Amino acid sequence: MARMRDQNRDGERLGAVFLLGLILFNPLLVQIFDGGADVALFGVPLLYLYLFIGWAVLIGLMAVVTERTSAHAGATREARSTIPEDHLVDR
Amino acid sequence: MPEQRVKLDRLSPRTIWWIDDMLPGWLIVVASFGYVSLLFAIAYYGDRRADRGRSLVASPYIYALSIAVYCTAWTFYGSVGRAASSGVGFLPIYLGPTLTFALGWIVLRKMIRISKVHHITSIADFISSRYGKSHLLGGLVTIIAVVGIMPYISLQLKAVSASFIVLLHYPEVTIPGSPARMPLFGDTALWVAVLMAVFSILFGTRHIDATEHHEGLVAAIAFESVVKLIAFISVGLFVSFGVFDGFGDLFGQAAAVPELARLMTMDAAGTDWVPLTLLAMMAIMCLPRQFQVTVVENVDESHLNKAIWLFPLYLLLINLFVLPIAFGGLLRFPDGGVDADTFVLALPMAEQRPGLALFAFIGGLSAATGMVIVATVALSTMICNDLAMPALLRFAWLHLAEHKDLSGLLLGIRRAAIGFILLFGYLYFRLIGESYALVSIGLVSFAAAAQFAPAILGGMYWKGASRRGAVAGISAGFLVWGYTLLLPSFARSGWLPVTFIDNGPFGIELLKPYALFGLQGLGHISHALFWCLLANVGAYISVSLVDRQSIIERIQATLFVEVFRQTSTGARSGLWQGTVAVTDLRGMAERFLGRERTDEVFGEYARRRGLTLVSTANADGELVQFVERRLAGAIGAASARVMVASTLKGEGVGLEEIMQILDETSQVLEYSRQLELKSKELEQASSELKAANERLTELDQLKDDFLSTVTHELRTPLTSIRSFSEILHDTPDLDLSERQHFLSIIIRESERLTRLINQVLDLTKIERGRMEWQMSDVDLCEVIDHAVSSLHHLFEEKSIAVDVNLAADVPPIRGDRDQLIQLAINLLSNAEKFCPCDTGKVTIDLETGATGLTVSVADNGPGIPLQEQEHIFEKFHQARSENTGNPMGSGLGLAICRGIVEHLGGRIWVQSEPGNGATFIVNIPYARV
Repeated sequence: MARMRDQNRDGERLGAVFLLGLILFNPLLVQIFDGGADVALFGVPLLYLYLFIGWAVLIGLMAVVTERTSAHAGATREARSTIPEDHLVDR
Repeated sequence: MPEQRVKLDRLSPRTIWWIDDMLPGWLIVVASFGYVSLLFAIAYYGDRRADRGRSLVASPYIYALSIAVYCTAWTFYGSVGRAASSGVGFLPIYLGPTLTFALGWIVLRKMIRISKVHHITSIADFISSRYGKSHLLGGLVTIIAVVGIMPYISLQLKAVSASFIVLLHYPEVTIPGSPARMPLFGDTALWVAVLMAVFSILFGTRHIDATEHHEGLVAAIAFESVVKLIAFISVGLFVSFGVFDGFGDLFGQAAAVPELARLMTMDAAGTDWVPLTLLAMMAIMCLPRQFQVTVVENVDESHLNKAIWLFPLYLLLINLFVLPIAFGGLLRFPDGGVDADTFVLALPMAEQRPGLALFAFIGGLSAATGMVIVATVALSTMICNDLAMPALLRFAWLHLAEHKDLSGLLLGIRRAAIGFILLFGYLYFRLIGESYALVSIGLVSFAAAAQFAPAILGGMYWKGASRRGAVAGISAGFLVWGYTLLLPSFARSGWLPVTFIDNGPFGIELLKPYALFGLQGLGHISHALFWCLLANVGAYISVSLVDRQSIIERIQATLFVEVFRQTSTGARSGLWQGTVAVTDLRGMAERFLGRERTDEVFGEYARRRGLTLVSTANADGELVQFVERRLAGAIGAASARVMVASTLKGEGVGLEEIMQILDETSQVLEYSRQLELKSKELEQASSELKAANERLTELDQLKDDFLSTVTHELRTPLTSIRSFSEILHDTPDLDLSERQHFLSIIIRESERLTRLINQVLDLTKIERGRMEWQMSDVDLCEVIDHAVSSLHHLFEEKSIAVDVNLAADVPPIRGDRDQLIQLAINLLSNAEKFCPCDTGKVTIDLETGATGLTVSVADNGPGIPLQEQEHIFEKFHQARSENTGNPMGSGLGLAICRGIVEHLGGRIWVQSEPGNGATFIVNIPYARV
């Protein structure tokens, strides 16, 4: 049961990451970082840095959420075998 | 090292001859063939491994890499081209899939689960199955997919052909001539198409398999993903750090050129940012090849977990150098003489790096071939299963339905379909592929695939979506797509008059395909996407709402939408309980299987069990289950179960009622699931309660014991006080010494009484926090000395040796001196209590530690059993004497000790081995300076 709830939780977390992505890549927000060629960090336009770093952060969050699940699943694999399959599959 | 370099320089004109000034055509051809042969080898090995049951693709990494077939030649060459004209405008195509994969847990997982449960083999199969196994819908989806994807396949062939021509002119960087004007047999694209057809036929149609897994093919695709990634990054690194001096230099130089500086703004990306992101989000789900690798070829649902972030990471990596290469190319070829789509090749060539250029070409080749292979296999499956077979089965004169084994025919159709797809793809490229830049063709295909998105997503989450709704939506979307994207592309290729685009058909301005109903200010793709989706979703929803679903649609809708619940109940198939006459069961089965088939089923059962079925007798559970399984093959497992269940109740029911039962059943299932949850929670709560109750009983027992001990302890001194007082009272002529003796006993017993009562009071105070602590810096050595001397006579009485070892220079601790003395006395008297007479020995150690003082009091008494050690500091608890079983003290001393130590922020514990004495250890932190 605890596992099931965790899974639901991770679905919700990834949903939140999705929403964060919508916000990060929204033109309205991207515009804030759009300074053209003049605004640059280490010579790289801020716009490019923002988009790629934002993207990387998003992927990082997705990795953290799913990898934690996998680790958890590994830890409870023992317990899992004792639970009838039908308790696990529901979302 | 320097010596080696010299040697290499000296050898280079002869040994590495081609590095210098030429890259002969035969070398490119040999390298390409070598690469494709390697693909064949990998696929062959992958299939061999799969046959032996040691799957090569059972890894989330291979799975994620195979999904990267998303990155085609269009990514490899076209992204740079797009970046060169629109800056970050190429990014939405990759941000979209990232966002979709963030939702992968919810959406993709459900798609995969549904497809596994229902043995879905393609996206057409998925949609047709959801909407009542409609042949019409399956065929429609297949046609749209073929029409929509064909240009995309042509695009890959064109890319290979064009890049080959560019590379052939090495070291001269030329504008690629028109590959379509090459002689037919000298055209690389033709040979690539032929090779890919052979590959797809060999590894995509080896056998007809229920799971439709092509492990060798997937392994090869994953390998191609690695190659194209490394190739692209190599070029990117070379441009960024070889040609230019890092990103800063590159972007700095570009910023100095006004036209290039313009590309560094969002304005360059245009208004298409959001629509393109949305388009890519749908494409990653709906492109037939993505459905093939993500859903159909998925061997383990859990692989999706890693792919959720690995695939977006891949996209990030392959896009990292798009902008540097684009700007590098624009700076290196400022006059616009070189097509930006070929920068990936042209830059290494212009810098005299034939090896790198060749590698880049191979990377592009792998990107193109990967897409072609998977798309062709996916389309051929769809053409075979959803177009050819339903049509063939309809022709009664073929008698196909009576054939037992159709797998040979299926394979033949698929192979022919692969050949046709690649042939048409090639023809398309020769005839029409010239009119568009690479990127536009790709997006046109994306938009076609996006027409499936409403039907797929709606189908997975909305039970009310109907077949006619899906047909209407997909057709409407497809028609608008054809009008706003396909026809204009014909017009641009000269097949239709250009006035069609400029003035609209028959001069009707409102119907201009790029500005339908006057909608302007959007890119062609965004414009088309808006109208397509409007038509598609509008028709889909409105028709579904007014429509009435057929039975099979409702069954399939329930099975799809509630897939997680369905699979969870599917496992729970016990034997049937209840009664049904054999004849009733037979009657029910006949309606679904037909008389003949039903006779067979019942006959088979009777034969197997070696008995004759009496039609009036009740069917046993096994027969019911047997019939249910056979029925499931015809009408699906869930409906078969409901059907059988309805019969068991003794009522024959109509299909309409079954549907209601099905709905009710799922509700009942939901309730029972909730019930199960609740009862689990209850169980847990009651076990907690039980534990608490046990604890309470234990405490109650302890209290009773304590009370009896205390009363016993109180009574003993009281009895002696009373009896001696009576003696003194009754015999006034007692002599003085005796009188003194009795009085001293009375005094001692009174003291004992007082002590006991004080202990009880102290403990109560400590526990309630009412003790008044007079905190000061205390020298623990002095405290121990004091305690030892005050107990001196006790030790002497029992001849117990006391050994005190105090460390030198003991820093003070913060505490209440009186309480600390109490602590020491309690520990010492506890030790004394358990020491044997004459041979007893008590050792007191005081050591300084890093954070506090450690006092240990060891005795050589009987020790404390392990199970007692946990409880020994609890109040009311008393170690029982081994011999008598009677408590030996009030059971409060150690509880008080713990109270004091914990108040001072320290710790107390015991180490003991039964038979070897016990050591009580106290750790008290130093006074904070």
